[in-house]
Amino acid sequence: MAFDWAGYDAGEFYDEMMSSPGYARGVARKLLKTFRTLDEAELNQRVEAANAAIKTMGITFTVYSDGRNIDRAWPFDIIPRVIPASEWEQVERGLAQRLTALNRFINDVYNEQKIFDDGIVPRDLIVGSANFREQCMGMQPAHGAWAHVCGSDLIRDQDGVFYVLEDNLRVPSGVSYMLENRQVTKTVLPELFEECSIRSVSQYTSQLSDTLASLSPRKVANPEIVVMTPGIYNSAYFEHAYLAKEMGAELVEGNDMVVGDDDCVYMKTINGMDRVDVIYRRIDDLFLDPEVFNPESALGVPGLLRAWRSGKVALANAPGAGVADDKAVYAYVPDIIRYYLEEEPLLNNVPTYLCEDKAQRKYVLANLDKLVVKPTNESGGYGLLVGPMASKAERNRCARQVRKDPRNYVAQPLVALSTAPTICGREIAPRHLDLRPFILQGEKTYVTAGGLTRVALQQGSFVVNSSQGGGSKDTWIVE
Amino acid sequence: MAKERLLSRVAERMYWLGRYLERTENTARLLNVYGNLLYDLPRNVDFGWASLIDIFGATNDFSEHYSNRDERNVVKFMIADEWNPTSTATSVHLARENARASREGIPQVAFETINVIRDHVQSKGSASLGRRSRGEFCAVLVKHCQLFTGQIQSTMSYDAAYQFLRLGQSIERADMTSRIIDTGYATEFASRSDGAAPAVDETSGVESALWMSVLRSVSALQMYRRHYQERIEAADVVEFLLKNEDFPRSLTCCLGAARFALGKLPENKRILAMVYRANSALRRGDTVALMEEGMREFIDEFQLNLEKVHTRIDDAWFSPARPRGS
Repeated sequence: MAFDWAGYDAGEFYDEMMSSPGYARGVARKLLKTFRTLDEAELNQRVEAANAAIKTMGITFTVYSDGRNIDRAWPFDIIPRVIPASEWEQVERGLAQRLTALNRFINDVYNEQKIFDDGIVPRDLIVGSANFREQCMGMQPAHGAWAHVCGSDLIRDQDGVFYVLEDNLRVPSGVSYMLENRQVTKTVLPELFEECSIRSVSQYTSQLSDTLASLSPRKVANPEIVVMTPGIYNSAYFEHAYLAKEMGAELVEGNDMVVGDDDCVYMKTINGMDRVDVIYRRIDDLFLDPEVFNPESALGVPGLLRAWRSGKVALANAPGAGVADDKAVYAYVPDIIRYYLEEEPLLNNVPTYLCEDKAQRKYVLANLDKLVVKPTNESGGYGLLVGPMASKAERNRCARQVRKDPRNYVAQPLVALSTAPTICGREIAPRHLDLRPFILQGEKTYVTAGGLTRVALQQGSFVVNSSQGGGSKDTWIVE
Repeated sequence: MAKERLLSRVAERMYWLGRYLERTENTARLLNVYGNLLYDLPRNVDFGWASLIDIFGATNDFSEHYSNRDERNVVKFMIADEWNPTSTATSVHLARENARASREGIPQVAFETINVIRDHVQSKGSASLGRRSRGEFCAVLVKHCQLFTGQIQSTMSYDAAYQFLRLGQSIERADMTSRIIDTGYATEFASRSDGAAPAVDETSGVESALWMSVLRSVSALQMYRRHYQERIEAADVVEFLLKNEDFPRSLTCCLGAARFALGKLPENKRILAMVYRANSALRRGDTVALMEEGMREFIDEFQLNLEKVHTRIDDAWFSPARPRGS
């Protein structure tokens, strides 16, 4: 028996696929048609096939739990999330605009700091930030780009409008899952690709490769690009290995490399030492170089910052880029766009209150039951308070933390996240989701056709991170 | 033509992947054969499950956890105990960890086979300790390991990574074969009531069963029979396993495979010389005379030479020196 789509009701939330019970949005009509032809048994078959493919392909992610690293199979929902190409065009331009402005900002922060002098952004907000790196002052990386890979999370509210929720400029991950989700969908629901005109995502790795190559200090035909990973026990290791493989780049750990007396970076091979030009580093700033940052770090390369400052090696993303990856800075991004580009932002921020500001803090503390309070620096959805769903005790605890350390908290109204049909046991039900597109910036700028859609698998939950039990969907930009 | 590149760390992983999977296959095969041998031997022969532990040099580890060297404990120790560095559970786990860390170079199908092997041991290991289930468990494990070797040989480029993998397999295989010969010989020695060295021309029913099992534990029985066409003679078996140039698990053949792999690697003069010397020492041995006296020392010497080669591999490629300035 096939699922009864007339019974699918997203309520007051914007549903990505269904405009009303039983009726799909224009670009999703063919998708619905195909799913209507699958009865329960066939649907389960496809789900099983997807799980088997994921297991065999070894698509995993790691969760730190009970003191152990647990390798889990990637949680994937087979029903794709569909976005019309016409809508995506605007989003694409907005994302490119945003990253361009952010890179101008970071470059300014580490050089002339004009934006502080002109009073647009408070100096001590940035210079006092945990992500500000003094060692980066005076650096001018190639093309003025500091954040070469950016993951800006997007959400839609109940009016169907896209908002940027946050910008991830340090070590954003998830793109390999975007690529593998597409692979799995092609395996499990191939008939959909005949019917619909879906934009390809497979050019991402060659665009990444081009972006990285454009940063090379040596102007050679084939600069040596490496992907630097902390190793197999890191939660995103699968992605590090995947991207290296797809780009034909070497996957290295800190211990594979040394910095010579000439300040050049070399990797240790069975033939001796090979020069490295560009390092796509998937390691946090503080672990990059024990000479400069955390001396206990065994993950980095002693002297790496020295090599970078001498211009002998490029680091993507550059150290210090995280200064703009902060929920407090986020609140200023629309002004940052206006300041550097003299344009209005094409994509909006979610309204954000900075607890550091006295008046805004007062408002936040008075309205905790309506707001989402976030620490400015945590990731993975930890440390969050979802006011409307929290207990009084939780709200009181949050209020105490905010008063103690106001700089570290921002608040936003709870956005009614959009939903999409998701297979939950024997039912197909609406589940909230977000979207992480990836934007590349080097000599050129590229935006992924879609991105990684993350779904909160629990009914009513807004927490989509895989580390907290979220799943994901293939994302289609459909003509 | 661009020089092919291999990171030292990846080379090391491939080498150990080869060693651990070979170890897994050999352990599974040996366990199966061993059990069958013991059913055939008369009960008064002083040869039991404990000897299996000795082959692996795991006596200390075993006695730390078990006081009773009986079938149940030994089998559990060899198949499922994760704290035993030589169990199939451990070898398979380490094989997979090494594969995961160097996955880019291994063909996808081969990596998937490693996942299947791991699943097999993890899900069925502890439940396969009894006589009936054990045979099937081990046979399937051996098959999958052989599948891996087949997939590697037919879908992996014969690059440096491949050579390190084959090198690891060869070294481990040589090591295991030498241990099995050694134990076979020692057991025959021990089965003589007067303690004298075994007389080479006499083979009683017990010895026949023993040497047939030695051959089976390295999958050599069929090929031995094609070569010798006679009944099983101890000296012939040892000669076959030491020196036959065609049988893949003989020591000579293993060294040959190692030499071939090493021949493809950079800066290999010194280590090739070492392998050559080990091979010469092997060829010089007079099997008939050694069966009378000195066989165990001879095998000891071989194992020492092998250990030297292993150490040299490590020094040459896995831990290169720092660069000087340009």
